[in-house]
Amino acid sequence: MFVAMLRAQWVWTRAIMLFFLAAGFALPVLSVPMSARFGIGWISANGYVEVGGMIGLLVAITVCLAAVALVVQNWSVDDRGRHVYALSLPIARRRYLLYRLGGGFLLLGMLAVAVWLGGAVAAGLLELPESLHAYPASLALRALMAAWLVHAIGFLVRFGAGQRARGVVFGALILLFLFVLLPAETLPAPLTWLSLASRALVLPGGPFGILVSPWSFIDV
Amino acid sequence: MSRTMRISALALRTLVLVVAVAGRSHAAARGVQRPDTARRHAVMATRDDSPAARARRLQQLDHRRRALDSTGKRERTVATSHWFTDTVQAGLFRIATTRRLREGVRRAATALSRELRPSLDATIVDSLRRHLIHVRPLLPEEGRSFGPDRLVVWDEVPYGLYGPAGGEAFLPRDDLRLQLTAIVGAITNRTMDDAMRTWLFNVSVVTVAPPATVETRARMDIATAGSFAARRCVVGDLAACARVLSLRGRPADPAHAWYAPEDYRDLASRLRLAPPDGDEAPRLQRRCLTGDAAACSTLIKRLGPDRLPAPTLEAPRLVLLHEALRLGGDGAITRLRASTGDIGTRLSAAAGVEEDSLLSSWRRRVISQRGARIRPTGEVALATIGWTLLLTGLGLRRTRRCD
Amino acid sequence: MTDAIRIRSLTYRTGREFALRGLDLTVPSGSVYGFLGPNGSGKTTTIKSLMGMLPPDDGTIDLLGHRVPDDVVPALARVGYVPERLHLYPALSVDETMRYHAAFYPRWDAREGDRLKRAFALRGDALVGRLSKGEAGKLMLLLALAVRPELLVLDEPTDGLDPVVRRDVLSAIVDYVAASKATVFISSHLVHEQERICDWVGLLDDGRMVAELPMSEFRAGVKRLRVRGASAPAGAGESAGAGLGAGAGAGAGAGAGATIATLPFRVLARRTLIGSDEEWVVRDWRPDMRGAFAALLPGSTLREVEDLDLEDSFVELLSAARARGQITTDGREAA
Repeated sequence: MFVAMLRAQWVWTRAIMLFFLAAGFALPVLSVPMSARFGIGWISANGYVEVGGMIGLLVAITVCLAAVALVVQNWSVDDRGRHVYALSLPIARRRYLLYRLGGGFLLLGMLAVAVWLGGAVAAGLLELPESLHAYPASLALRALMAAWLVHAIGFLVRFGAGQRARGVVFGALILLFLFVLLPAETLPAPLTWLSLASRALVLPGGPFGILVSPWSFIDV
Repeated sequence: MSRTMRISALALRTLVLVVAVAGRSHAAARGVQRPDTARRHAVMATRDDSPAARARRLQQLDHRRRALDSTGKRERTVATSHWFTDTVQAGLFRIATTRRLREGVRRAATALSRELRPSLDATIVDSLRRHLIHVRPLLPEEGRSFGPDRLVVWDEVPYGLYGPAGGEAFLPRDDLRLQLTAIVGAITNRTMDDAMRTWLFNVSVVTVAPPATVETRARMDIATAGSFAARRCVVGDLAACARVLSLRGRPADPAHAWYAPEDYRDLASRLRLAPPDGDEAPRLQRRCLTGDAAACSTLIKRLGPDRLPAPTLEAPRLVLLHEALRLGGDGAITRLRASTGDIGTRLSAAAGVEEDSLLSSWRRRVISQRGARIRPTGEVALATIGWTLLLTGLGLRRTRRCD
Repeated sequence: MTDAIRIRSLTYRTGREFALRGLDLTVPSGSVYGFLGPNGSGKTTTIKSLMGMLPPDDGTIDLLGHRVPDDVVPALARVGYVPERLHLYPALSVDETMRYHAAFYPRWDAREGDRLKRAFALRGDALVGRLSKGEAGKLMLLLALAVRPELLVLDEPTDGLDPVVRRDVLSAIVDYVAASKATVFISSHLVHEQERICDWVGLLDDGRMVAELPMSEFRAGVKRLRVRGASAPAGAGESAGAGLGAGAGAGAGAGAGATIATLPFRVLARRTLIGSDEEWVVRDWRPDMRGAFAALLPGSTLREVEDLDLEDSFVELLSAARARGQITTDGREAA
C-alpha cells in the first residue's frame, strides 16, 4: 500500500519535486562560480564564508518552500475530491495519513540528498583556503530536518485543523515571530513574557531552533 | 467550547510547556554552560587543599550547579546558603550579592547604568524568582561563583541579550564587556595596565567568561583573517599562532610574518591611503584591486611595515586571555599584572604553563569544534525530531470525516 | 439470511438542519436494492454514512456485519463503491489508477479489471482528469467491480450519462450480480431504471424512509382506479396517504356500512373528476377485487383499473406521505 501511495504521490508532485531537486542540487554548486568571482586573493577567506552563508540561507528557503509546496500539492488532490476516495478505501484513516506523510518525508529526503550531492560536487570544485572547509553533509542534514519539521507543521495546519483554527494558528505564529524580532527590554512588562515565549520558539530546544541556527555551507 | 478555542487553548498550553522546558534547558545549558566548569573552578580553588577538602568542594559545587538548574531549587539553595540575600538590578543585569556588598554594588551599578543608559537606575530587589537566567561565574581572582563576599553577575532576559543560539548578540559585544567590567572594576577597584589594555584593542579587562558566541566569533575571525599566519595557525602551526596573535609584539616584517602574496589584494582593499603616500600608491592600489599581483607586491613594499594593519583578531585574543587566567587559577590575574616582558611571556606566567601549552589549549578551545556552527547539535536534532513527531501526532488526531 | 446493510434510527445533522431523521433501512443479502428519493432527500448522505465517511449523530449502521464507523475498514475491503461524482485522482492515468486501487484490495482481480477495461473501451494511458463523463463513470464502475465485492454501493451511477453508456453500466452491474450473487445497493432518482433491475425498493424523502418493500409488491399492488358514484364515507382511518408497509387495509368487510377504511385495499389518494367520478390511487390491490368491487362498496362502480409505473407510484406515495402529515412541504414535522 505504501509503495502504491508513494508512486501515486510522485506522479502528482513530480513537477514540483523536480524543480526543487534541481534547485537543491544547483544551489551549493552555485557557490563555485560565485566564489570564483572573488578568488582567494580578493576578499580572501571571509568572502568564502559569506558565500557559504548566502548559499546556506538559499538552501534553507528552498527546503522550507519545498516542504510547504509538497503539503499543499499532496493534499489538494484529496481536497478536490473532498477526500471521498481516500475515505472509501479499506485502510484506517490514521494509517493512510501516516503513509501520506511518510511519503512526503521520503520525497523531502530526496531533496536533502540532492543538496548533499550538490554540496559534494561544489566541495570538490571549490578552492578554499586551508583554514576553511565545505560541509555538504551538515548542510544536507540540517536541510532534511528543517524540511521535515516544516512539512509536519504544514500538515498540521493544512489538515489537522479546521479552517478557523488554521487562521488562528497562522496568526499566532506571525505574532510570535514579530515578538522574536522586538527586543524584550523595549516592551512593557506583560508583553515581555510574550517576547520571552517567542524566543523560546527559536531556542535549541524549541520548535524552530533548527531553522534559526546558522545555515552555511562553508565554515572553519 | 468551540473548536477554535480548544485549539487555541491547546496551543497556549503547549507554548507554556515549551517556555518552561526551553527555559530550563537553556538555563541549564547556558547558566552552567559546560558541566565541567564547576569542576574546573573547584580544582583551581582547592589547588593546595587536601584531597578530602577538594572532594568536599567538588561535591558542594556540583550541588550548586544542580540547584541552579531549577528555579525552585535555586530559591531554596540561596535561602539556605545565606550567601546571596540581595539582588541588584542594573539595566539588563542582575547581581546577586551579600548584604555586606549590596550598597557598593548598587552605587557602582547606578553610576554605570547612568553612564550607558541614562534612564535606568540600579535598584535593589530581593527576589530571584521568575527569571530565566544563566549564571556568569567571574574569573577566579575577582570572585568565585559561590562563597561569602562573592558576587555572581548575570544578565536578565538572556534571549534578548544573546539572541537565538549561535546568533549575534542584540547588544554590541563591547557594550556587554564594558558594563560588566565597569561594575566589577568599580567594586573591586582593579584596573588593567596599559600594555594589556592595548593588546586587547583598548578594552578594559575582561572579567567574565566569554559567552559561546565570542568563542564562535574567535573561530571565524582566526579562520577568515585574510592572513597566511592565521590560516597556518588553524591547521596547527603554533608558531604561526604566536605570530598572528602578536605575542612577541608587532613583527619587524609584518608583510611576511602575517601575510603571504595571496593576501596582498585583500590587504590592499583595507588600506587607507593618505596624501603623504603620494600619487603612485593610489594607482598601485587600483591596479592591485583589478588583479595585478605585481602591483600588490609593489604597493605593500612601498608602504612599509608600519602601515600594514594587524589581522583583526579581537575575539581570539580575548579568549586567549581568558584561557590563560582559567589555566592559572588562583593568583593568575595577580601574576599577570606583576609579570613583565612581551604579552606571550606575561600570559604564560599568568597561566603557569609554557606558551606552547597555552596556545595548544587555546587552539583546542577555539578551533577544535570545526563545523560545529553548521552541524546541528544533538540537542537541536533531538528537539527537531521530537517536535516533528509531536506535530505529526497532533495532525493525526483528526477523525474519519469528509472535509 | 443476514442482511448486507442494516440501519436503525440513523440521524445525521448538518448544522441545525437534520439531513437524516431516524432512518431505518434493511438491505437483504443477495438483493438488488433500489434507493429512491427526490433530489436532496438524503440519499448521498445515507450512503456516506454507510461508508463511514460521516459519523452518525444517533442510530446504528451495520455493514456486512461490521459496525460503522468503528469497524468499517474490514467491511470496506468487501465493498465496491461508486460515488455520485468522480472521486479519483485526475493526475493518474487509467492504468495507474487501477494499480493504485488494487494495492488496497486483496480481492482485486487483475484479469477481470483488464477485461472490463477492454469492454468499456478505456485507454490505459488516458489521464483520469481528461476522461469524459461516461468514461469516468465506467472507470469508477470498473474499479468497484474488479475488487469482486460482496456488496456494490452505487450512488447515482448513471446520472448524466448518455443512453449507450447507461446501458453498458447497467449491463455490467446485472452481469456481475448474476454471476456472483452479490448484493447491490443502488441509489438513484431515475425511477424507471430502478424498476428494471431492482428487487427491493426503499423510498426516501426528506431524511425519512417513506416506504420499503419488495419491488413485485410495489409494482403489483399500486393501482389507479376510476370510481363512479362512490358515496362511502371516509370513516375512521382514512387518510390521503397511508404509508406502505403499515399493513393492509383493515378487514375484508364489505357491504352496507362499509367505509373506505374497511376496504381490503388501502386508499392512498382520492381526487374528484368530472361529475361523480373519482380517481383513487390504491395499494394492496388484487385482481379479484375488481369483480367484487360493487359488493365491497355498494352504490359505486369501478370503471377502470390502471397500472402505475414505478415513477407514478413513487410520486403518489410521496404525495400521500406528505399530505398525511409525516412530512410537510417545507420539511418540518406536521403538528
